[in-house]
Amino acid sequence: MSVRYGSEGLGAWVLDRLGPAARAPRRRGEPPEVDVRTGPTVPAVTLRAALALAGVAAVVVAATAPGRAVPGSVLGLMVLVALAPAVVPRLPVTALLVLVVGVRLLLAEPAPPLVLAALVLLLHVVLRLAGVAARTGWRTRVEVAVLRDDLPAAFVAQAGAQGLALVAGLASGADAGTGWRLTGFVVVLGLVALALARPVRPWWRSGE
Amino acid sequence: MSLPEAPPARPPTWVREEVRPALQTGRWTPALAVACASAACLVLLLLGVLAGRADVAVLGAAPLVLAVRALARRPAGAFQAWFEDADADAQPDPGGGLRATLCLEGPGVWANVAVRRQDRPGADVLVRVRHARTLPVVARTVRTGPQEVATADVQGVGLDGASVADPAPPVTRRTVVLPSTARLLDLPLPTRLRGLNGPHESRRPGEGGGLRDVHPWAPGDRLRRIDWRVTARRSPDLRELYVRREHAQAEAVVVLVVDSRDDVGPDPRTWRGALAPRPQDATSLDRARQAAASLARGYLDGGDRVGLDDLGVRRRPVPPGGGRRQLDRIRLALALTAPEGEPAAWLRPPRVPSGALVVMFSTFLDDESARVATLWRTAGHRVVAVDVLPALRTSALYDRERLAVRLMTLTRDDRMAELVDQGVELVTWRDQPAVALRVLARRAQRRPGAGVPG
Repeated sequence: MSVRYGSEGLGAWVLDRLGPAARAPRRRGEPPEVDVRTGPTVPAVTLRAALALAGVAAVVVAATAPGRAVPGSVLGLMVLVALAPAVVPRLPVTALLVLVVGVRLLLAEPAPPLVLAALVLLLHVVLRLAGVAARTGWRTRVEVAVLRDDLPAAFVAQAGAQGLALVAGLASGADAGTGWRLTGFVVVLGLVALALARPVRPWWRSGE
Repeated sequence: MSLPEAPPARPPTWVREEVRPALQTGRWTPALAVACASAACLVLLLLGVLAGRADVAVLGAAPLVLAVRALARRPAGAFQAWFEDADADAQPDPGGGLRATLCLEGPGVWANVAVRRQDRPGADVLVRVRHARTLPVVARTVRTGPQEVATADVQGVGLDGASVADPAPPVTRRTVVLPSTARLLDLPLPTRLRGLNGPHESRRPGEGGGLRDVHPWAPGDRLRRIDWRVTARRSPDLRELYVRREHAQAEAVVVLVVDSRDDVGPDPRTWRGALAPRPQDATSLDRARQAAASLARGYLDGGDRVGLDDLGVRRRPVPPGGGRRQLDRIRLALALTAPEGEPAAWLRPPRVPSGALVVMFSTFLDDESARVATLWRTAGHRVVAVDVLPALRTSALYDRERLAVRLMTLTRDDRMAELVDQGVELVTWRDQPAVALRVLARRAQRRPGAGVPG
């Protein structure tokens, strides 16, 4: 028995000062008091783990691109940036990860087609998972239907990007000409204009 | 170590309640993380073009295309959530508990649904909606009376999580769960029966009961009551006729008195009110409701008259009555019984019909209920006290709390022993209440005169 903390000891003394809620019975393993019945789900923790894995893989693949080797400390920072979207997905840290990977690739030699294809795929996976993870907390369950939602469009976009990556990989050996840059600028301007000037009823959906 | 008690069997019964969706703005805003990531892809494209590095430019091509597509399809309009009307989901959940149906409707493709109950967090799910969806919401509880089933916070999410709607106003589903009834065996009867018909045999002369005596015929006696054998034996010359007289049938009047001042669970730490009892634990008031409803059903099924009064709140009691509708009336009144503010002290006990059996449901944690029960007993009523305090869980208590519980238990035991000394019969609504009530009923039958207590 402690003179200062009474017969129950320090633990009880601390819990007393934290208030009655601190002594509420723990409910580990118990289902929640009120539940929502949905289709098959995955825990947000699993989703975030997959996101972290994809982010780290993207960083590692980018770091191993041909060219000057990445110092260990910088690689450590890059891995931290890759883990950040899984921890704080609502903050714009995924953008930071994309920029880190892009800048690393920019500073390195032109990437071989296989590395480029892997990076295109990994960044797409990271951004897709980050979009879902941004809407979850640690306790959230994500319906599998959400993850499968609009998957055909993602596959089509990814296939197109992989085709572009193949072309880019082949073109990376050749000297870049004015025509390529002009085409790129037109694409950028077109995308920006599309994003900023969104029509009330887009022409491509007028038939719906 | 005390084990948690099995919850009472209670099919939830719903009372209709209108729930309407609240109005909202319908504003959608881009999600910060996704918008910034798309902007980063655009920056990469720009950098790649400027540096003449096609491999850098195509890195974010696929997400960028999908982001532009999501932006073009950004939803507009309100995302609404509401609970379906009670009539649509009146069936009890197969797994036990209360069930409600949450309806989602809006232009989004996903929805973030977080449900809570009495400010305790429940499930948090991200579901696919595609314009409309209904989701079953199940609350695991054994509690009865007015209560919240769930409160849902819903937020619509656009394509690929690129945009989010303003959170819909929280929607709440409340209901009143009527107490269930358990089947009981024999039930104790009051000291005096009333009326000229009913399920029980009274000591008054009449018709319908067992043989009372054989008596010389008098004007007013029916001819079909003449017992010819006795007449032939006692009066062979038929100068006098003898008739068989029977006991009259009668009914019992029972007044159920619920002490609603206490609503305590099996964990003494929750008694101060800072912590709520677990929803899987039936509180004393839940047990009182179930016990009272079971006794009411038992007596009413037998044809007796049952009334209901509340010791904690002064309101108009449910007067004694019979029939199926009286049972419904009593169950609803029991479900609405709850502690209300500071209970007023009774100078005199509530009035009950003369000769009625009084059944009091209380925790007997203070003297008030015992005092009132004693007053009724002194007035000549047969009084049955039903102890509805759950089996206490003391394993997680500190030493000082365990000591306090021990002192409280000793005081309560003394109080109840004193009640028994006063002639109040005691039943504990815990393990086998039906058997205890049968013992009381049979104890009375062994004595002369049905229903006379010892």
